[in-house]
Amino acid sequence: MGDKIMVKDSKKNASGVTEPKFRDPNQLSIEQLTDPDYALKQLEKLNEGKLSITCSKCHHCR
Amino acid sequence: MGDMEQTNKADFGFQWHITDRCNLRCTHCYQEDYSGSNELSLDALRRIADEIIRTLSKWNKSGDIAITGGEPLLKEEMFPLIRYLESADEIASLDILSNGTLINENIVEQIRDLKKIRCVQISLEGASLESNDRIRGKGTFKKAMASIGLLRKSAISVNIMFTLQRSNMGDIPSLIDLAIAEGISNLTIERVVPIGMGNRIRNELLSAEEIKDVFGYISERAEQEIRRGGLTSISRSRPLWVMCSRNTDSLGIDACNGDTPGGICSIGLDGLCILPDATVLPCRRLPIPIGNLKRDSLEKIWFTSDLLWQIRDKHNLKGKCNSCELIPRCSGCRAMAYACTGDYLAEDPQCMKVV
Repeated sequence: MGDKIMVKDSKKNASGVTEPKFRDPNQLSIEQLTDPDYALKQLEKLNEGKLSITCSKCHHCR
Repeated sequence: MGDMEQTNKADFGFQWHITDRCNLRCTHCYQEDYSGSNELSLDALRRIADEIIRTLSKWNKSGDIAITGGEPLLKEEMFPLIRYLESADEIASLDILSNGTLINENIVEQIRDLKKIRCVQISLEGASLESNDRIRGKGTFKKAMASIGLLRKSAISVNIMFTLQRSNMGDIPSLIDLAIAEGISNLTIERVVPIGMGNRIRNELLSAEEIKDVFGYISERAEQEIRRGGLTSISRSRPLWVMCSRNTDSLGIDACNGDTPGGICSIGLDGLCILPDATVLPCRRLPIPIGNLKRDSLEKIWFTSDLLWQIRDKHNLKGKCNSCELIPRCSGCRAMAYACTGDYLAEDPQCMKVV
């Protein structure tokens, strides 16, 4: 995490909406491309091994 | 009903908006389009369900899915979709998020027959007819309270969602009283994010000092309820809450129990939002598409979305959020940062931390 990574150019669709940007898989590690918990594990490292508590999925985000 | 306060690391959450049609026009709504023009058929919904189930199986994870809208009960495919989802072992639980105005005995009976429903969430924006209906529309308070009564009578767990605004902050003490009196399982009080229709009510945003006072009061009431052994939990596992407990013992970021306030924003960690046309958002309140399940796999989105990788790297956060020691229990609300500044990596504009 934190490395400079190549990003595909952003594109706009016919409605003028910005389309999603995806990173070039060749610029990502095997772990980043296969481990769904990679970011959680990195966060634990950042926090010196202590567990992070993710939000409660209280559904406020609706 | 499962514990709403803590999430198991093996779980992955989806908030799935199956329709954008709604019979209400709440003043703070995150939507602007209510046409339903891009909604999916039951077959198409099932294909997305299959993609979710297949991915969860590959990841060895269980899924918690919140079905919502718009108003999900306006979508006749809602119950068939839920029955399809709950037939999969990979789906651990489902919630229904509703405005509570269309629930009747027939609907309650159908919900009661489902096997994996954890709770039904009903939105209230006030503890009285006057304060609630001013935001949600005439007659909504009575209908929502009647729905809560019907659901509770059938022993279905109910969550109340309250969106905090300047004009309803005075209702919080009586809302907590109401939730306890009604036997509500979980009460969530969270900040309004000014997007969609809500972009017109920016004057409703509270200052950081006001948030500190309000969250502090709520935390005190939550801790009182815990000490009392009450049945109603008040959700505090959200960004900023870690700074608002008046019980300093519970500020330890090592602690891992439901009584400890604060939770890191889950964007890029263990959840995604799906819109009615299969567009995927990092969170419903951060309206930047990161893919569409009609053409992109969940793995492509999760593993290669540029936005998700930017937010996952907490070194990218700016202002007070950069290098903050509270990141494991906070990291600010990226949606609030984006709505207020146009930069989802900016500091949470309502953060009350003094640096």
